[in-house]
Amino acid sequence: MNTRNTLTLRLLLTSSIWVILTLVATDILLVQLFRSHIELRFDAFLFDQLQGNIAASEISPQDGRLRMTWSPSNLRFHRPLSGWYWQILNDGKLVAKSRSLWDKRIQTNDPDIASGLQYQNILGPAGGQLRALSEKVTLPDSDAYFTFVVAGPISNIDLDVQQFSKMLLITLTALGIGLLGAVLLQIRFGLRPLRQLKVALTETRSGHTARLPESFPSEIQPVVSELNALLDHNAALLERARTQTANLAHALKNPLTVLNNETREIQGESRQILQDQLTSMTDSIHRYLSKARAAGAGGLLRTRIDVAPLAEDLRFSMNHLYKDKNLYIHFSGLEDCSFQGDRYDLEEMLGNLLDNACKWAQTRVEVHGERNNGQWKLIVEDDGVGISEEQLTLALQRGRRLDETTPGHGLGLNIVHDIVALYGGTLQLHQSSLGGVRASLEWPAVDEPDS
Amino acid sequence: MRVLVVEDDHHVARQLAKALSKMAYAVDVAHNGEDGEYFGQTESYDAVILDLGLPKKEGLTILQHWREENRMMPVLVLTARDTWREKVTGLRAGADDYLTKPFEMEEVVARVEALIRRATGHVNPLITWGPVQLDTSSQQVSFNNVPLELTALEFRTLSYFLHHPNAIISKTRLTEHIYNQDFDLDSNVIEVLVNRLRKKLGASFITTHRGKGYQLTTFDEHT
Repeated sequence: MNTRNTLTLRLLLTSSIWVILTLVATDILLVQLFRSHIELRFDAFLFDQLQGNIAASEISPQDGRLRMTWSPSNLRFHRPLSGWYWQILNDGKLVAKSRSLWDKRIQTNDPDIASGLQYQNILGPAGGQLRALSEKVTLPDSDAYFTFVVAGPISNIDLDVQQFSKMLLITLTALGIGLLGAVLLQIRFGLRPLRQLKVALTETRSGHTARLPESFPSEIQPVVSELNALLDHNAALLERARTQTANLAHALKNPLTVLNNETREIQGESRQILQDQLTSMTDSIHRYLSKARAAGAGGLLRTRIDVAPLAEDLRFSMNHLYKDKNLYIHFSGLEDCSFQGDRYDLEEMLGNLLDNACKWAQTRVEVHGERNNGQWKLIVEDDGVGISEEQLTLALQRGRRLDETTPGHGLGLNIVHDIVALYGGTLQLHQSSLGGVRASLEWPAVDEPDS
Repeated sequence: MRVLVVEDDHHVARQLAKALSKMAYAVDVAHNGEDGEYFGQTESYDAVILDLGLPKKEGLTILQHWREENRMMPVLVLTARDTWREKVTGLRAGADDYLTKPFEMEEVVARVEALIRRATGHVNPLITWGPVQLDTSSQQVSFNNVPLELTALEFRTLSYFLHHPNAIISKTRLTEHIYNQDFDLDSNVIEVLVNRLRKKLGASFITTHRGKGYQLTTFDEHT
């Protein structure tokens, strides 16, 4: 799977971009608001101070000079070069100043009488940036113009804004991390049905369920319904293909019978050729028909099948089919023996093994079931003459027949071998202590907790 | 011995009839389920070869009907249906044997012979009555260990007697089991046949029970 192309990544990426953009914008906006708020308060302070200075100033009736009726008490204006200054100018000459100015003065543009209050940023005497408010006024009993100036350090504003920004950054970062965590949780929760769908599909593919459950959220349900429809369609197609194969095979059987019997009338070499070809055709039909029928582990209907009743049915059949031999067919250990899969497959395997044993047996056939290490093992043995180990090995090879003389016979073990392989099982042939063949069929035991 | 073949494929039916006739069986053929069921209900057969996929009526249904009506003649199912489930179903429905297509003709004939023999209580394929011996597998009769030449009708008559050694067999019953449907029934023919057999096997081989029928004469322990 491409890790770069995941829904989680897509959702996370889009959410992250949005969250980060929003938070950055919030940060910028809040810092701006804070700064303008601080500046307003700063300016208001300067304005109050200026008005205070103007109110404290009067023209002395004795000498007509300006004097302060009270000195501004704010300590900032007393500490030398504190950054907070005031001064009063008359026609460019210093009339009065704050103690903080020491022997310096601040340089401001002299405002017009008409322009009223004027704010300006200037370089202070101690080097720092100052914000100054100046106003040109006339005082009562005098026609001289006085310029009142009050200034404070801008660095104060910057310091406050910086502190605020720092706090804001920490808060917003925490908020951002929290939001992204929430988004991640939301994605995981939101995408959970998709993971459930994956699990359900795996279950279906492994054959535990035939269809997907119909309990998904309404956004996914249409997809699930379509998948179910597809599964049904597939099953129908498979069933139809099986039926058609069976029909074809059945349709060929009568003509093959007729041809096979008619070749007996023919004399000479061509008779043998025809019969060989007919036998080969018959074998192919038999083999591929049983292959088409075999559902295997991928089959949709995997149910637990008890071996015992099925074996009983087959014993009944064998007793009829081999009535003349009067065989004793004995079962042991089949009570708990079970098979997880298709009923037809089990019947076909067991039927062929029993049929083969009965065909070769002289008096008895033993069927024994046992369970070892999670495997069921079914042993079918007969007391016939048996065949050599070499022939036993050959018997399971593809297309080989144990009995080359009768068409349609002897393919049985091959078919068993093919079917059990579909279930991850094995068929092994050995010589039996009874004298004949000992066929042992093994398949994985599956325990169904809710059977 | 008379056999019914119920088979819708005409070629297969013809070949079966031919092979069975060759072995001196009287053979009737039905090409659909309805005819087959009716023949089995109204005529006396020693064995039936029954296909399952038949037009008009399913072979299994026919078989079940016969068994319900207590018609117990041995039935060999001969079909293309070759799964074990189908075999079990067929045998559970009352079939005595089950053979799948494509088949070997010898196999069918041998199984029919075995069915008839078993149905009349004979385990051994050799049926012996005094100096007469019938090998059911080759359908050969020997008299004092010398092969005996018989016509088909003579063979069927003798075979029927030998399969039912202790029964008194009426002319009607004998007629039913040695002629097929197409034959014009004439009870005089039976007398002629019995007399011909007496000529070949000795006059006392078959006893006549007046008004009842014929019976094989019992041979004492010295035989």
